[in-house]
Amino acid sequence: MQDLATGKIEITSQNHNYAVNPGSLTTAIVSHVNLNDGVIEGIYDAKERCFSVQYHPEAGPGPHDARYLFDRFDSLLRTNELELY
Amino acid sequence: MPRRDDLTSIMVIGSGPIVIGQACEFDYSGTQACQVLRSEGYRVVLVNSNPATIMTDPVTADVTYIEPLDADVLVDIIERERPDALLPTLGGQTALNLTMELVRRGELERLGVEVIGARPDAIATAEDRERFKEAMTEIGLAVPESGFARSIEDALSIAKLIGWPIMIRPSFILGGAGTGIATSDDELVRLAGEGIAASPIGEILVERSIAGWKEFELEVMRDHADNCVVICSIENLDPMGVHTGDSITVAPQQTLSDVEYQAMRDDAFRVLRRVGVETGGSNVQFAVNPDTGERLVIEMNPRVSRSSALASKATGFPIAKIAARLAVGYTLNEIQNDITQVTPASFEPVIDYVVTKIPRWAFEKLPGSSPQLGTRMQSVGEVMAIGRNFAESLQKAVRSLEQGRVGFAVGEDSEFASLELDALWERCVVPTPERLFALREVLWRGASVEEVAARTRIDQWFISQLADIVERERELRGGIDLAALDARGWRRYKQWGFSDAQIAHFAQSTSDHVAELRRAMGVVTTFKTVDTCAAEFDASTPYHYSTYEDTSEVKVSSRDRVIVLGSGPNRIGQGIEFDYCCVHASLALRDMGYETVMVNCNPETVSTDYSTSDRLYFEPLTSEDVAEVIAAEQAACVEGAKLLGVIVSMGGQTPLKLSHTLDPSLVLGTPVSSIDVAEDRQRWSAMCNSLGLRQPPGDVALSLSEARAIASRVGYPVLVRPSYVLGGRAMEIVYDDASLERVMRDLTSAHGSLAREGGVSQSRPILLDSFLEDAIEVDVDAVRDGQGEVYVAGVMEHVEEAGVHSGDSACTLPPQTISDEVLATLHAHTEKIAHALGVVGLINVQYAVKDDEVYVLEANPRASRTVPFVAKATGVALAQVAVRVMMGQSLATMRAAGVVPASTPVPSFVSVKEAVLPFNRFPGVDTVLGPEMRSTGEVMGIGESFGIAFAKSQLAAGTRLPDTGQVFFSLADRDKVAGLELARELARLGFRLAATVGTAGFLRSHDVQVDTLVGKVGLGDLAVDAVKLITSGHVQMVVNTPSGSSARSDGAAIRTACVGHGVACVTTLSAGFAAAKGIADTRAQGWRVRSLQELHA
Repeated sequence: MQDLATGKIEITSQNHNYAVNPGSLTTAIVSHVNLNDGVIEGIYDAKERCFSVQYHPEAGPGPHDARYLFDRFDSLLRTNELELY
Repeated sequence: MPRRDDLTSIMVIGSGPIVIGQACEFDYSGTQACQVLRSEGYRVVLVNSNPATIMTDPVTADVTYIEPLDADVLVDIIERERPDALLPTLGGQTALNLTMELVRRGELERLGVEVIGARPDAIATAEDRERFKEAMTEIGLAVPESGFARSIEDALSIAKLIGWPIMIRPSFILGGAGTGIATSDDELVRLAGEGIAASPIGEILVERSIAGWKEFELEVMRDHADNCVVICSIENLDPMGVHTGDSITVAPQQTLSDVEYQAMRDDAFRVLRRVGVETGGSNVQFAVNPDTGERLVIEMNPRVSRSSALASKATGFPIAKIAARLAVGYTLNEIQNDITQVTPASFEPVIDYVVTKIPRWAFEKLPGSSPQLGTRMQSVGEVMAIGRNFAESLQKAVRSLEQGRVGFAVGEDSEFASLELDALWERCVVPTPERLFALREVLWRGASVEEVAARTRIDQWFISQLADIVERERELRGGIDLAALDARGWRRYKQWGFSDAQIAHFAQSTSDHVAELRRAMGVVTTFKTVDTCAAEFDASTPYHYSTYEDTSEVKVSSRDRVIVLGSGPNRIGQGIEFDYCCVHASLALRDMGYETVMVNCNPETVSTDYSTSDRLYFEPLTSEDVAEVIAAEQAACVEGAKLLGVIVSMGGQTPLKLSHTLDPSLVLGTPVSSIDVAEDRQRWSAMCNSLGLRQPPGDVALSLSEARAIASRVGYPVLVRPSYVLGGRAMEIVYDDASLERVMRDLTSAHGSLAREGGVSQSRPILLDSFLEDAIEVDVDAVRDGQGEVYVAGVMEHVEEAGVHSGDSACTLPPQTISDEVLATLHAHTEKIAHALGVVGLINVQYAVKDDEVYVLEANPRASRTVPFVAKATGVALAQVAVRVMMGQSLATMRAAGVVPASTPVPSFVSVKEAVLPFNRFPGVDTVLGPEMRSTGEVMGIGESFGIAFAKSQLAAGTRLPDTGQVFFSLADRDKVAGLELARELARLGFRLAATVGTAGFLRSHDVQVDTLVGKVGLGDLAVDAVKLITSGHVQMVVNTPSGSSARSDGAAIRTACVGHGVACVTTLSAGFAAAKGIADTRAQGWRVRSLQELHA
């Protein structure tokens, strides 16, 4: 998984048979991509103050690399601003 | 960020000779690094002293120096080559230590060389235990309580604060030399003394012992964008207290929960970041308290290691290759995963199988050593096996060891079956090479899993797995009717890892019959693929292991193929030289357009790099496993493609032994029957007689009386040796009746040296030959083609006289004292023998030359240990020539193509090969050289003269010849006359002499001045004894020749003291003369460094 805003790589657990069709995105922007197959794994919309990922940042089981998303969510709730860095 | 364009030339340092703790794994990593850097367009300058490596092949790097790994030598090379950067993380501890020395001396700064891969500061943080401990404390990670000591008094006071047991570890050492656990003041004093001496900076870590805790390693990688991944987790079956290199290890880890594992993973990344390893692979070791879950960081290596080679082979993720790319600027996501070729390297391998590694030791070759395992690594090699579950991989690993066991559970074990229960428990608790099999016995007798786990501190999960295998053994031994087993039943036992031979043993049947019944039920081996991703993506790299499932993943192909059988685990007598030959076999075959298939089970090697051959089968080298590979390869042939054959003559004795089980039409090169002639004493003698070749007189014996009769007929001294053993095992030179009786009693005893190998029998008699005293031993390597032409590739004169095993003797190419007539005789004899044996491929013949008379000692129609040395010394890729010959090419064709020179090359320089011995690991073992081989590795010295080449080889092997000071002489009576000349020579060179009373009297009576008289060790008869003289630094070199096996104790103490204090010690006069020549030539001419490419230009 790569966070496109920071370029950082995350090892995550995920397993899904459906994926976001890139052509279907209108205002949302892709934030995370699976480097193995190019599948969209995360999108955000700063104006709407929302973001989502299609993997398991809660890591139960799995690596903890995506824990920062909870801080991002916490910060979003407190500041009303979506900070991607 | 892509590759760095500001660098054009990069220096890579290898790890030097194979020693305990540093083996083939650094040839594997260094070779990968060189290949990757060259493919990226950098000019690669390589330095390594070990000629038996693939990395020192002149095609691996742009510039290759086979020179001693010494800071001064490196400075010379850097000044000549002016590399922009130095990559020190792929040549083991040796390369790291040398780099740090160059940094400390300011040489790299002066010469403008940047250290890439790991910054010196990061290396210092990881390597210096005090700094490491501080760093860990800073990030809140726990390390064992400890303190540093530079004296025994310091050590004692730290120990008082921490409490027993106490672990001692010297700073800056590799493989745990000088480490140990102390439980009392006395032990601490001894270990602290040893440890301070072993540390290059005279410092030891005194720490809380955590023996009995669970031990884990994580192989991690980091790129300069701070992306971190775990390549592999490894769990030690043996708990803390046994060095990880001596532990049975399993990947992936088996007994941690996901919560525990993820916490450990987080810790590993924090360690990496804090230490400051910006790019590359590292290894972080953890201990976990099995009762509380408390986790401690034990150490981290900021470099590629033995474990990372294992991790690479276990996962298919080439750590060294990727580390080299990261070092020159790439990030993980910019590098492609070799195996899938579509996904990036920024991932963590997922494996759907279990990998087991078991070390192999050589205690039987080192009398006086205690086979107890501890924190000091003692194993000389290892095997790895892959199975679908732990039981299968363990049983495969056991049979890969080639120690006569066809699996973990093999029924009654003579060593343990007769033991009382208490004695058996002792064998289960104390870690030794045999402990695993003591565990089988105690489980067989009904001990509970809980009790075994509690007593051994081995995790209950592992013990329960062992107990389950023993339960299967119980079923099989309980009178099972094999004919009634259905497919499901067969598959069940095969999935538990039982070999056909094991089942046959239980059912009193034969392996062939078992295989027949099994196959009749349709149960055949299936091969799965090591693909890094548990089959999520297509794997394009065919790297296979066997198991018993429904489908095989070997892909069909329409190309003709050849199988190369590897040499299995490194052991004394069969090491990297043979892996080198197997790799060359594969390279030559690929070059000829064939598909190549490698079978081997040694995870350290280049041969088990999946890119060396078209297909790699990571399998035990047993008749059953090899037969299954052959069947799979034949089945995968389509469109008329064929399996052309199997190469058995490149991997030493291991594949040669298997050749008898193969279809003779598949054996490429020299026919199996010829191999038998060379091994069978009587047929070989008859052949030599018919060719008119002189042999030392001798015969075979089964009993003491027969041996006495032979000895009285041929006269003492007599060389006594068992047949069919490797590396001169249990060989001795016997000077009188009493010694003959002692040796024969041992060899024929049921509990003697040969008990493990099946004792003495009509088919395995004892060989007795007249021993030619003071003869020069000569090795000849040659290739004969199918048309009958012979190319003599190299003649090597041994420095030590006949009687010292050829593998332990230094040798020189070209020879120095052999006349042209004798040389011509050696050529002619070699041709005759090669013709008579019908050799197609390599042959090695050993001769003894005495008074210009040539005696044939033995011939081996296969690749020999000296093949890589000859290749490096003559510039001819000998192993490849041999393989081309085996495939039908003629020497004439190759000569026309420029692959082979017109005649035996006469190099303009001298090459000396020197053996490297493991005595610093085994304090109680006598270092005197004899007919039993004990060296683990070799180095090569190259010079304009023999003296220079010899002196370089000594430094490369770890001993710098002195230029001034005092030489201590202690000579056996029969060496006194010849020793006089050596003493005169050294005195002429300006050395002062010290000698024992007897030797001094003799020297003085011949007008040689002796400055210091030396008393008997420990007798106190004179002011100073030899050991005191050596340990106090008043002697720079020792010449000590042993006087037969009875009076060895004094000499042994002297030689041991030399090893302990790094004093040059020669045990033969010939080596003494060579050293004198080395000292004289070094002084007169100085050393120059030259690359192989220049030498062979």
